[in-house]
Amino acid sequence: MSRSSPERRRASQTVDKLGVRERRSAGELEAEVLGALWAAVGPMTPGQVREVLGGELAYTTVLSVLARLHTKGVVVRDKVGRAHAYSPSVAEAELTARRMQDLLQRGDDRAGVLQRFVAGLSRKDRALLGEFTQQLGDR
Amino acid sequence: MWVVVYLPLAFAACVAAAAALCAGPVSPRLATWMTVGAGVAAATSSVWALALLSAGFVERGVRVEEFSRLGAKVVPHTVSVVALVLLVIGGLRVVAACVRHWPLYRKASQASRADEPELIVVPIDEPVAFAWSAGGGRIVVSRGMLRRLNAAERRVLFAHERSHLRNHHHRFQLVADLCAGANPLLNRLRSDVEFTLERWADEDAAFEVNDRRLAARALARAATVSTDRHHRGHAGRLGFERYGVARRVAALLVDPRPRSVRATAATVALGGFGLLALAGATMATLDLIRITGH
Repeated sequence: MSRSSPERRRASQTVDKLGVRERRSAGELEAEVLGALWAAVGPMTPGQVREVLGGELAYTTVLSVLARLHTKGVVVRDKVGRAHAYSPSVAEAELTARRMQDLLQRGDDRAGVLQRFVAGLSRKDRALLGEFTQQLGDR
Repeated sequence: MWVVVYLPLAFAACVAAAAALCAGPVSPRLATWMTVGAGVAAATSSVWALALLSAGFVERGVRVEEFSRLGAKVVPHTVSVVALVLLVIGGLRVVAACVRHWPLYRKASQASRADEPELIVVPIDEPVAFAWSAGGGRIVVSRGMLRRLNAAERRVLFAHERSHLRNHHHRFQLVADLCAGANPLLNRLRSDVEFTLERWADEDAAFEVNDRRLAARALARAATVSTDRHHRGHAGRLGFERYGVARRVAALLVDPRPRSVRATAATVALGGFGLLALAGATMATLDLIRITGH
């Protein structure tokens, strides 16, 4: 057993890897962009997506990620003025959800984990979480 | 002499107790490996011990002279019967665990396509998130969960689920489930491993976003929204928002400490009890060989 815990080992890596970590993989970007579209109330232009994601990504990067997602059929786009506005394809997601229905439903009959989660968040846990949320501030 | 055959059963209980002590202070990766390792040692040796104990009964049935003497003299008849019953129950529980996990290992083609993005969004308002190991790994998140987190918090969520997938956490969970099935004394290993796996993914996510407070906030928010409504759990899948959330948030809010004496002691105890269980089973086997050899 080595003396240094994984956290400590990786904490030291944070410094050298900081620059590397900022470059996110294509898959990571897709998840973030798709997540942002789903979280939004209406269609978003690439510029708006970029803003929501913190503005650190290049506009062209956002554009190409959106184009990829469009090719995969998980987002739809409308022409708004000269730009496209993107929104998640609910129809496609419903199809996927239907294909996964078996998996999603099977979870329900295995009550063990469900119980534990609810039990895991005892009154004490709930109170603690409330404290943490205050401590951490809102968004 | 035949006391040793009962030792694996006793040490299995000790392993379960030591695993609980490890779950908090020991680094989650090490705690997971140690718990699962000691669990496998305790489960296999206790199953073997039960097999040895019930051997007397079984062999008496087929009237093998040596064994019947062994059965009558060193293992009381009732103990043999009880051991056999426990063995069968354990077997059934292991089968049940396999049946529980089976749907998660089926071909992904049934549910997801290769060209699909890693993130699968389920268009429901309930806040749900889990990692699904099939088909190279998918992150399944509900629209409700995505809407309740901001962009930075969503990154934490994705990083957390990715850690589950990258580190094959479902395998640890399966092994813990099988150990608990084989020996009910190890039952609480399941929740201990589930907790250390979530902690492991939490630490990875915090590292990924390089901000422990952000990770803690994302987790706290996901947990609060998840239980504000009726929550549908998904067994066998690793969820972002489950298991001792308050403890996990608290752990993220402090900096990782160098290993404490308590953590080292718990780790050593856990490994030690696992090895002692194996040693007990080995000695009992050698005893059996010696007795039947004469």
